[in-house]
Amino acid sequence: MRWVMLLAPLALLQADRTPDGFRVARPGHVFRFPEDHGNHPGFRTEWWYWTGHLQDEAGRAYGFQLTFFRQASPPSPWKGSAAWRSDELHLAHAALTDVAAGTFQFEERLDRGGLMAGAAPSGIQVFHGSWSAGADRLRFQVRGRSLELDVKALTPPVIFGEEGVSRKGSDPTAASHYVTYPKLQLAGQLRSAKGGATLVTGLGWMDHEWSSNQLDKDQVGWDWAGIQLHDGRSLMAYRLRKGDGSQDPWSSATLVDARGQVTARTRAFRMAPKGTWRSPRSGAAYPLPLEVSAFGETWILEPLVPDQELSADRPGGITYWEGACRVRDAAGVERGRAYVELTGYAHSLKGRF
Amino acid sequence: MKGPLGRNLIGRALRWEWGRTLLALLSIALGVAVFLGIRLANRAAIASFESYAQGAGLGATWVIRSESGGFPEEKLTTLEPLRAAAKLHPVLEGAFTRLDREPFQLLGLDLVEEGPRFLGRRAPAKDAKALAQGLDTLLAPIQNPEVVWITERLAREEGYRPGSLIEGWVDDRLVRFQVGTFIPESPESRPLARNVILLDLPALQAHLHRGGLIDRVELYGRPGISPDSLRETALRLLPPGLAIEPAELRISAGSGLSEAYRFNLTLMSVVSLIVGAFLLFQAFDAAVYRRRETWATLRALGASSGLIQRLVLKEALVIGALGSAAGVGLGWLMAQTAVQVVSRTLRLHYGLSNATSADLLPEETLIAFGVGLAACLVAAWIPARRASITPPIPLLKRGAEVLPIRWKPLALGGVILLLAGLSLPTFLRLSPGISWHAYLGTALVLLGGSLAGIAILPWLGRSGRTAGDWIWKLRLRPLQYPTARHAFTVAALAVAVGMATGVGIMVRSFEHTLDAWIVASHQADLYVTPLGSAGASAHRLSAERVRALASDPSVAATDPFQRIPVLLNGDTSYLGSHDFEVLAPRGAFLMSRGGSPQDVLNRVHAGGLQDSGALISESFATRFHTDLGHELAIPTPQGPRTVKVRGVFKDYGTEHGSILIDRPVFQAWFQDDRPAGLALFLKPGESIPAQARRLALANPGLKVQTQAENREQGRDLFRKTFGITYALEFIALVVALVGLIQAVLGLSLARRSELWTLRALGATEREIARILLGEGLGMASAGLGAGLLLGSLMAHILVNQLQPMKFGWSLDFRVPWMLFGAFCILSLGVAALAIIPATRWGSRLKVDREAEEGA
Repeated sequence: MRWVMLLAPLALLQADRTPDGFRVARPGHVFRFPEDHGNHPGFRTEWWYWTGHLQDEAGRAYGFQLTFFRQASPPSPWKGSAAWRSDELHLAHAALTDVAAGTFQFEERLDRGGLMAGAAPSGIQVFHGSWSAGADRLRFQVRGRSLELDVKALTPPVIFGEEGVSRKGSDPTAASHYVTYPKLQLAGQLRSAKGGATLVTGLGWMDHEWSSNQLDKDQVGWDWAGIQLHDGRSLMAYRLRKGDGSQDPWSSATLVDARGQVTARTRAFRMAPKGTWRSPRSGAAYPLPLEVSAFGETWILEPLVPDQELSADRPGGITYWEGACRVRDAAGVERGRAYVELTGYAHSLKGRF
Repeated sequence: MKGPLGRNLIGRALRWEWGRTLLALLSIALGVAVFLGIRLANRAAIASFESYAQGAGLGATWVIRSESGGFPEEKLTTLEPLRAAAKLHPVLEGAFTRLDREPFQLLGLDLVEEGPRFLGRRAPAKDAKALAQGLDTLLAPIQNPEVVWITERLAREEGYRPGSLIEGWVDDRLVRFQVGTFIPESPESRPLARNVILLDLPALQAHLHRGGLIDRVELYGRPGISPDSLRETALRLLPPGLAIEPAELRISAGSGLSEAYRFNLTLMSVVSLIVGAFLLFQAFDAAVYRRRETWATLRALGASSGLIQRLVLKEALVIGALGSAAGVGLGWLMAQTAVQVVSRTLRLHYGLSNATSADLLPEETLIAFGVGLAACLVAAWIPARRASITPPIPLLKRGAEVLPIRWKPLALGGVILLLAGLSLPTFLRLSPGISWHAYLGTALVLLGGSLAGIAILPWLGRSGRTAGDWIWKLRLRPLQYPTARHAFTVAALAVAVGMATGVGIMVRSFEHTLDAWIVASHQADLYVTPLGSAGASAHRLSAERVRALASDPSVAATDPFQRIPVLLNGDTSYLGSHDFEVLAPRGAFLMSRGGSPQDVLNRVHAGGLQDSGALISESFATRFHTDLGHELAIPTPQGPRTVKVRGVFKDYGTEHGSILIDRPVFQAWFQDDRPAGLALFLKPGESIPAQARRLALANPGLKVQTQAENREQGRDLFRKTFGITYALEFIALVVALVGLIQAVLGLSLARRSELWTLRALGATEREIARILLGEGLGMASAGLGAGLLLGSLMAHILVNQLQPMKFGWSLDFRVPWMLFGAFCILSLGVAALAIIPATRWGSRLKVDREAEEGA
């Protein structure tokens, strides 16, 4: 879900192809790995998304986000050169939350496919400048600090949606293919700007989604959460918000067991604010902490650091909140960790990309 | 002398002697105007270069570029870690000539990354439609290589609209651009030059046929990152073949010849100031002398010498303030004209068409005003001192004698200073490029020479001792026993004439040397280059076009020429290539060392790739401490390649120096078969003009010039470059002559009592005229002689020492005899003419002093 909506166009008029020739996510897709971890240039939009919670040897906690987006340009005869492709734009975000210091740092990159950014079609192999992600390794830098992590999937990939298609709206073409590794074992090094290195370990989450159309016309944003419970289960939930603030019926929550099997899926769930955090930069009021009620359980997602807002400094950029959270149950007992994404609060996403 | 009395004394003096006041005002106004005008014109020229060289113009801290040739774009990835400390902007530049031959600069940037900032920091679009429109605007040049962004100013002045077509030439190919949108003028950033056309980087690569190459990467340091630490980080990451340099260095290197140009302009502004100060000195000195009685009276009434000195200086301040104010206005007007001259020069040589007007900034105004006031005070200092020491009693007796000056110590001191000034640049050998001692030497020569020139007066007057004729005696007596006023007049005139002479010789020497160089380096019958400016290195000829021209039936031989910037030990220079096999039998170079051009070119050509040789320019030899037989490591895309220096040639095209290698070697090292131009040697019997016309018609994207046209273009560039110096030289001379008139009149006035006596004794008007004429012409001759001599010595330093030191150029010393003759005729003629009113006034003096006194 998530970013694919930011990058998706508005209209889709025919079933298998968009009017400008991009493929549409259709039921019945047979997933093949590692190929389906790779690039799908036939689709307009694609992203690879890693988040995770880390801890160093001294017990100091960190959160991180590393995201690669690919967006096809409107078709045109001019494709640019191999190094500077005009048919493919890439956006990347990297963020690091230092819980003990209470700091949050992020960087954004925007380039075109070719020399500076790209994704291989054969498996997880994406890069944007010096940021890169493979099946078993992540590497990126944020404001002088660099993180290198070995990655090991603890479950097989989880495919969300029905018949391999994750629906996002009443229009049947508003859909994506959505693959997730809800539990990744992470180990590596965090280097400070001055060069000192700290060993870190933790648990990560990886999403990979591709589509050519997602948002419905009246959707203005969404709330997304990826929850990793201490008992081994995982929960992915997204709430699509309409202009009047109501929850779109195509919102969804999915429960995954410790072995990576989907055990339950529902559209009848609740995400509600348990408080408000107002950004001093954008002025946006975010529903934090966030309460998620689904499958008869309630979890409260509390930010580890309040200010984890990614403020766009690029004209036309998108400001949103994405951050590491602690998960408590209704009784206040800590039950796990989560990453939460809240969009459409600083400005509506209607018509964006 | 405070309050109304002081004001009255100053005001009355200024009002009653309105002629002198006007002259002083004119002097200071002229001096300030020339000073300001040159500064403004200079700034306009620099701004023009900066806006051209800075391209995006948003204040890059550092620039990374290839040591030679293009910057392979794949090396960008090695700079990736720098992103933490800086924003990296790859840049490619090119040139475009519109069908009407108006030149434009093509700027290729990664518009995905940088496009939004050129469209301004607009607020997020309010609705989907506005968002889509914004996105379309941004994507248009990225998805269509013909779509370009132009400046608002260009659109406004030329009436372009989105969708308008701009047709013209890139290299030798006809292209058509479509206007996408306009780049707004933002207060946040320096505006782009009017004729900058912005394209997406890969689109420009395609237009220029420079796939895989960029020109440079500009680094914009992030907040909190110091420039030094950014440079250190970059140095650690730079792969071989890349170098980092300050962004300003690129601009100054790009300005090339302009350094010499600006140097000459600055030199002239100093001349105008010194000559202006001379005139002021004359004016104040005359005024002070004329009011000796006033000072004596004041002294008799008990005024202290300090008070009188302050009174004169206050008067100078009033004149300085009024004159400077007028000068600022006049300077601004002069600057507008000068900017046009500068713009023409830059346009001709560099293809810059963004003629910048000379705006008057408050700080420039203040500086000019301050300089005007300071010049007034300095010029009035000695007259003020002289007024302050006026003795009260003797001067009440009209006609008190002014004692002769002790000229011998002055002249001796002057000779010592003169010799020291000459010795300094001759014997003190400093590193190339360092020239302070030459400037100091010039100043010492000027000062010493002007003082030593005083000795000419007694030398001219020496025959007065033995002369039998009383007129001769009286005529030569002031020369034989010169007063301080005589001495200062001669010294000041010598300075003015000396400065004008020195610069005149330098300009003539330049002109002569460059003319010889232009003739020697333009031996081909025809020169073919892409349309556009003569100096724009961005233009290239396609290899196909070169082959087609070479196989033209009228062509006997061709010399494809090329010049690219190279970085050697962190300094910018140029690497050029010619076909030495073709040029060897035809000369084509003025050699400084190493043998005849034929021998040197043949030896280098014979060496080929195995024993590669090169010619270096004099500037290069000076800047890089290189000479015959030395080996040079030239950076190439394949790594450093060694050449042996086999000859040193004269090159006045750039003070950065140049290396020349044989064309086949250049092609092998740089894999570049697209020269900047082609020199054609026609077969015997072919008509050069006819072939030029035919080839121009057959190749509409090319400029085909005959040898004569090419040479004339070089000369024209020189004339335009130095045109302003001729005008300023003329102004300096006029000012010097006006000063001379003042001096002659003032000295005649000083001999008032003597003339009275002569009239009383029965001297005729003719006899008085002869006496005054002798004194006036004697002083003019002394000042002129000293000025010409010290001007020649100064020129010797400028031409033979300063230019080689500063730019590595050896110039042929040439004396502008005509100019010298004009100086002599004008100076003596003006002095003689100035005597006429003085004579008439002297002859009409009442013979009865008592009657006059009682009048």
